[in-house]
Amino acid sequence: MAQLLSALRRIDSALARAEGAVIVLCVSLMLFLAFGQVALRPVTSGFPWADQLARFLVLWTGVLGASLATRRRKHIAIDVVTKFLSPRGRAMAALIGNGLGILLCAFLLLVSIRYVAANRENATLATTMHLPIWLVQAVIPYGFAAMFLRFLDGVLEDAQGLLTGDFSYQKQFEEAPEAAFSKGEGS
Amino acid sequence: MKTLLIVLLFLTLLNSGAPLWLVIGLLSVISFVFWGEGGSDLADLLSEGAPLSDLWNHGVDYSLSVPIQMFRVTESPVLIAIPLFTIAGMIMTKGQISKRLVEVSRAAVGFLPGGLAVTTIVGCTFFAAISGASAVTIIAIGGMLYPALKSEGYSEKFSLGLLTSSGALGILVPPSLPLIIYGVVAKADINKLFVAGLLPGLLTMGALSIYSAFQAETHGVRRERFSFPELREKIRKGIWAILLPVLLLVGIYGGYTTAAEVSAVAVVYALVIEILVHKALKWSDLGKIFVDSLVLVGAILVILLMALSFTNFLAVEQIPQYATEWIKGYVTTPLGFLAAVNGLLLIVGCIMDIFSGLLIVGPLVVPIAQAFGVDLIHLGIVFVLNLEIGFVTPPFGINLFISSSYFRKSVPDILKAALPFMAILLGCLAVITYFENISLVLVR
Repeated sequence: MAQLLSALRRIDSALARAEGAVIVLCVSLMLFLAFGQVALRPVTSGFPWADQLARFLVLWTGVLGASLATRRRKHIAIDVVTKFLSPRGRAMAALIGNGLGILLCAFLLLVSIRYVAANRENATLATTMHLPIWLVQAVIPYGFAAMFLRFLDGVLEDAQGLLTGDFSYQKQFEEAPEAAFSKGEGS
Repeated sequence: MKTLLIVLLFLTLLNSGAPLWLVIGLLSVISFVFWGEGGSDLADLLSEGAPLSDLWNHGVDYSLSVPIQMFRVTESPVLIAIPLFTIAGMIMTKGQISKRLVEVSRAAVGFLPGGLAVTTIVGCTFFAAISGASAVTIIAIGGMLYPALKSEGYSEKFSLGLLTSSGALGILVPPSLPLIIYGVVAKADINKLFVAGLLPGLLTMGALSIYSAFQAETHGVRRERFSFPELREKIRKGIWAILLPVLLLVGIYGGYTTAAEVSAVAVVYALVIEILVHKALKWSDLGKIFVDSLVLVGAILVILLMALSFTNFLAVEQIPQYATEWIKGYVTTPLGFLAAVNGLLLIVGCIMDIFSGLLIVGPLVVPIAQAFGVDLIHLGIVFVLNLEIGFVTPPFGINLFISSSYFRKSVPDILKAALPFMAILLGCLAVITYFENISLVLVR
């Protein structure tokens, strides 16, 4: 299991670097398009394709962001009950959550592959530009696949913790409230 | 019966601490496959004794709604405002814009009775508006102003209560993310929502300020001396920071731009100021800011995507119509309905953060409200204000816990300190709910 975990970790951090890079690129382009539309407003009435492309980029960056959120265990969850559990109890609860993640992501991966494949076969184009829509939609199955891997990683981590009784890995996901702001003090 | 099953499954999974989007996603898949149109087909397949592969294909076919609804989110023109405002907020938090703004307002209103408390309220409002999170607000503003409040003679209890509850104020002021997300869920006009939030926002700020001034006078808090050179100096240092909210407010309230356009301008402006003028950030910090913001956005967006596909199921199955019929057996007036919504949302606000609350309860409540003839803009204001008050209410209000851990006080102590403020906020909520013109007069 330890070998599988370390292999998963390597894939995971390689993916995370790529996802980060794509996010930075897409956000820059999104910002450029959105600001460009405002800046050019006195001159033109705007380009519909730029608006649509910017919205596609929101989907892309959002899905990639969600994938990274899975890696950092940053998904929004109701933790009023689990907050009061022991590390062992928390690991068991996390096992349920991550297990659910594996099942659902695997299923939705298959479903969304079928969805994208159908649009690819029909050669559907975006409404405002000559862009095959399936290329845009492809981020959806990618997101489920990446999240599947991360939930798998989580399950293995929790299982290992429960077997060895070492729950120190949980610490890295707990963020003290100060941490959200500590880097923001400025000068 | 069907509805009861949905609700039960939902509640059990919710409290397991599993990511919310998974719970909602599972629900939409199960709903589409078993309870929707798919359900009757499934029954046919089962009675025919169809092979497993047929059942599997059936499941996949009916689940196609999920990716279809996910992709349809790209039709929403306001969508882009969600990442861009998040990024703008992150830039302002990591840079100096918010800090300089607080300093200007302190120099400007600090001499009034309760001046520093009013500064706190104004600071919290602006900060929560841009960061969208009241937890960060408590820490950011609290770190700056809590020591100052105490050294000026405000009681510890008052200072803690003020900071814990003031984080609630910002969400009615642009560029509040919760209002944008409500707008996406309810398909309501975002600009109208922002305009509608103005008077309720001022009302809650005003009510808390009056209470603070009153407290400051009865406790004999020393007033700060007004110093014009000081104010001039702070304005000189903060002028670029002041222009940002001015830009946002004029753009949105003046009706010149849409929320999406304003968000793009806000990011570019904040970037230029923080990097070139304040020199608080470097270009190389940008990558981290973009990625960190998008992790936050991604966590919200997946819930939004799953909630939209679940909403689609509810709409197809006409569940809001059934619920409306049922509720009409107990409540008949729009006002009675709003009161019931208030009760429900206060409970929801206690146990969920504001985005989850909006995305889970919003799709259910909005169509019912329409059936009762409640204005959707007004509902949005009531909705968001409610959830934010839930942050301070026991037993699970998250602000109580944040304050407790940040200021190192017990939760009951923080709660006692927050009670008077909570009462004021609830009073404001009641007034705003009852007089819908407070939100709607500027929209009409």
